[in-house]
Amino acid sequence: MTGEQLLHGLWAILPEIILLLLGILIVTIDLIKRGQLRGRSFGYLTIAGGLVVLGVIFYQMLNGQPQPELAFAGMVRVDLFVQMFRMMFAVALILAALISLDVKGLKTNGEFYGLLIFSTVGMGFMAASNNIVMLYVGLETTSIALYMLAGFIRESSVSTEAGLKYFLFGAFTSTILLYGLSLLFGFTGGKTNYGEIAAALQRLVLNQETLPAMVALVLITVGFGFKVAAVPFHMWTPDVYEGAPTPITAFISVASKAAGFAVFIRFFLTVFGPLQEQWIGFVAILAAVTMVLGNLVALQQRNFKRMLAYSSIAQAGYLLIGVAAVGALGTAAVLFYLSVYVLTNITAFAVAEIATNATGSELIKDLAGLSRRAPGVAFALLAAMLSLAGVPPLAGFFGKFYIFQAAVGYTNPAGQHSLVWLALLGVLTSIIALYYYLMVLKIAYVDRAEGEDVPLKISGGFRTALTITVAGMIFFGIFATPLYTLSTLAAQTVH
Amino acid sequence: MNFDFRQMVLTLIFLAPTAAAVIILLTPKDKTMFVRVVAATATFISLALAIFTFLTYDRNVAGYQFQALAPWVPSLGISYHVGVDGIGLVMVLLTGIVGFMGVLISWNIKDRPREFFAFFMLLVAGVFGVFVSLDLFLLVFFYELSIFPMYILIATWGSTRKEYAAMKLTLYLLVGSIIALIGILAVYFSAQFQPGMLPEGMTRTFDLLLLQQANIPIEVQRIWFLPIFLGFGVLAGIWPFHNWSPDGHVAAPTAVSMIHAGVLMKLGAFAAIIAMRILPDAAREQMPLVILLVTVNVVYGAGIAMVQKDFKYVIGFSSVSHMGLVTMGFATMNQVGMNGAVLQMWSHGIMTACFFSVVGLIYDRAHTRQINELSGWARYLPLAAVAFIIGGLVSMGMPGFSGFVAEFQIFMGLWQGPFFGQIWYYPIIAILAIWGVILTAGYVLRIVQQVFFGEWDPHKWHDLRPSNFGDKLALITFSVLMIIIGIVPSLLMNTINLGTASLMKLLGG
Repeated sequence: MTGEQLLHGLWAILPEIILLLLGILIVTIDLIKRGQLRGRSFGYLTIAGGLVVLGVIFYQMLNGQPQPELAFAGMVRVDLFVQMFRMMFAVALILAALISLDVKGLKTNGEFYGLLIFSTVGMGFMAASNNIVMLYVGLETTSIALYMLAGFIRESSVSTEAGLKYFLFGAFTSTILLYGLSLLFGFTGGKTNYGEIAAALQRLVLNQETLPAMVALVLITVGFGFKVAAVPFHMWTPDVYEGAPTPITAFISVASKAAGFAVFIRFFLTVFGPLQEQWIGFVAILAAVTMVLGNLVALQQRNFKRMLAYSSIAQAGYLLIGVAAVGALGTAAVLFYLSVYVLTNITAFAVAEIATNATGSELIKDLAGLSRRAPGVAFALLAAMLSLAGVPPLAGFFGKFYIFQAAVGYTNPAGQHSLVWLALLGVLTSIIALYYYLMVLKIAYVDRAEGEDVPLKISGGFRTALTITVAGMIFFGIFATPLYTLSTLAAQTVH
Repeated sequence: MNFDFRQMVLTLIFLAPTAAAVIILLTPKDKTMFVRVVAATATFISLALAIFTFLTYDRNVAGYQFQALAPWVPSLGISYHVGVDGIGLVMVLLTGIVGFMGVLISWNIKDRPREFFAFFMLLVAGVFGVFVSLDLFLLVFFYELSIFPMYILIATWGSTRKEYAAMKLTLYLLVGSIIALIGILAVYFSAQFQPGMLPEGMTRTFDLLLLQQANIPIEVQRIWFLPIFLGFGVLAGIWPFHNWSPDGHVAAPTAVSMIHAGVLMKLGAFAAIIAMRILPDAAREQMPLVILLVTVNVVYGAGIAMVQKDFKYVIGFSSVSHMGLVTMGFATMNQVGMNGAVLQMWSHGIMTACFFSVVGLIYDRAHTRQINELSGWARYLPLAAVAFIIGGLVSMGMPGFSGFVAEFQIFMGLWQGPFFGQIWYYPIIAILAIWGVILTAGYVLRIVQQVFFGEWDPHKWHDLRPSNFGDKLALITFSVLMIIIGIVPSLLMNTINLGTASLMKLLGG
């Protein structure tokens, strides 16, 4: 590797390098000055780092080459698709840090912010990986940091339980994934690079020897399905979402899911590209089950965070529709949906945290009186719920529209619109979803509660985060074009 | 200066209430008077602009006017395209009137007026938006935008099983609209255009005017006509999807009932006929089936209204019956019937808004709506009684009132039958539908007799207060409009005729 190539490669992964250095810095300061640093310094540092990274990504996008950058002997591939995911991760990091600023047990803790940053680094590598080894390393970096974060509040038994559960399930599925990857490695004659594996698979398909590859595909789907919380690999979601500290739940629910989709799409389109006809039906069924089960179970939840967990499972189902509708339309729809979802779900969890702080309860019914105590927060909740449900003028409407449009527009090799049924199922289940989202709003707006006349004090971090997200949801709900254009361009880089 | 007012006017019509909603949300909590004034001003501006468009619409040119076109999501062929034809024009005017009166009627709302008016403004903006959209995506956007504020408005400020009714209404309407959206997507993907028809660089489009000229394969038309028509038709209360409507009307606060029954249900009919515009071949085949459904509406709605004990439910079911007549008018598939349908949309809009404001006035004072508990209210609220009786006469289709002109044309259309050939059961349906009108006379007279006449006992009620200026203004306006259009229907018919003529042309008649 020449010096120029090295520089080139380092430039390609600059966002990850910056974050890594920042994480190390924060952890070191925390070690040296343990207990002396008070206030929100670490949080501010994290937010600043996130903003710098966003700037770097913008700079790279504006000055990048049109063709994708392959670095480190093809281990890493950076293109617009990856850049978009990096942006989502950075935004999620900033928002998660903002809503952690005033949470007891997290706000002054350097380790917490350090781990948050390390997991973001891992996600960046997941999205950028172009090699199964890189993929696995990125995935584990992300996961291990998140396991610790989920169990971060050691005094709380639910949090510890969440961490342990997340770890056990995660370790289990990650082993299955690894097994799948090793099968792939074996069947394709020792290749680790995506492109090379795909070429080898193409030969297998031509020889009609697809069975071993299909076994690998199923095993790998288990690993990815766990990351994106698709049914039937979703079991961990409700417990972890409920138990983990709320800012972490918010972060896992958006960033980790986005990272999961990044590898899902990249891997299935490039590596499993030759098997496309076989896996489209498979992913479509996965999407169908995920939507149906997620939404039906969400109906019965009493705990707000658990409800959001099942809602986020259902959302994974909608996103999978976009994956199944192979093509630039489908991928662009997923990218748009995910970008909006980052804003939406973080809002929902931020409101959950505010309400829990105020009433000490995580139950949905204790959101009662929110509109009288804190009209602004109630409005943010309204925006989040309606955006999740896909109601205009919020960004979620465009998200759902693009997804359904991709599904209706998908044509199989025989020229039939073969995924219309999936779009219709999506519509029907989104009506179920609308019911429980509206119930939340009903409780917040209509129901009365004791102490509803006492105004709620909302701290600066929450206020900033909610303002940004609500403004974003409304902005992208009306002017969706710039983001959608970016998504389309990014989608074209993987096709 | 590159500012063409005629292009901007439709945008301003729905922008005014939208801006009002934003301003109201940013207003401090206790500035109630300011909030009301902002809401009233915004709806008044919209009304003034609506009147302006109605007066300056060039009837010699006809077609879609006041058009504005700007790209929105160009890669998918979505654009911001607004404009009105004869039908849209009348609907915009109706929305302007009912929206403004709705603000006046809810002037004294006590619980969180800021939020109430903000959501009400959003609702009005959404309704205006649907009537002016010429892009199907934009139309669905506004359509759903006008549904969700209903949920909060009914669930928070409503009465009588309000949460149940609000949820039912929202779910029904959104299911309908999303199914229609899927249908529109199917049409969008299968539309074939002549070379050069689409603008440079565009492969597909949601533009209504372009889709109308596209060639859409007959199989696609056959499959998707009913999903689109009935999907939107849910909001027009087409049987058997009408179930949300009486509950919703009854539970909603007065102003919302007015907008809801007065305008929103027309939104359903208005959007449903989009299906006839873009899928004319299937429309010719399947509209004669739709007419069977709406016959049930007309007769069954009126029959159920007869036996209701709650004053507001009577009006709710009467809306089901009257909206059935609207769809029936479109399903006659000839121009006379369609003229009647559009005029019925207008006439029912004003009449129902009037009914609901009267119900609201009485309920605010009596705190009950049971018909047998009320009596003699003409003594206390004479103006309300007069307005209600005029509305009742419109509802019965009494000559000299707007309802007569509308219903007469619909029945004439039924006798005449579709333009492509008589269908044997159309005259039978006309006979059945006339039964609906007779039943209407029954329930209207029953209310008038029981609620407004009879013994007046002032000691029975504890919350008596005279109606205020806004209420009176609203009632007088509604009454005057109902009479004027009844006597000089050509004021509206000239305009409506232009709209239905182009619709007939699309259908091939």
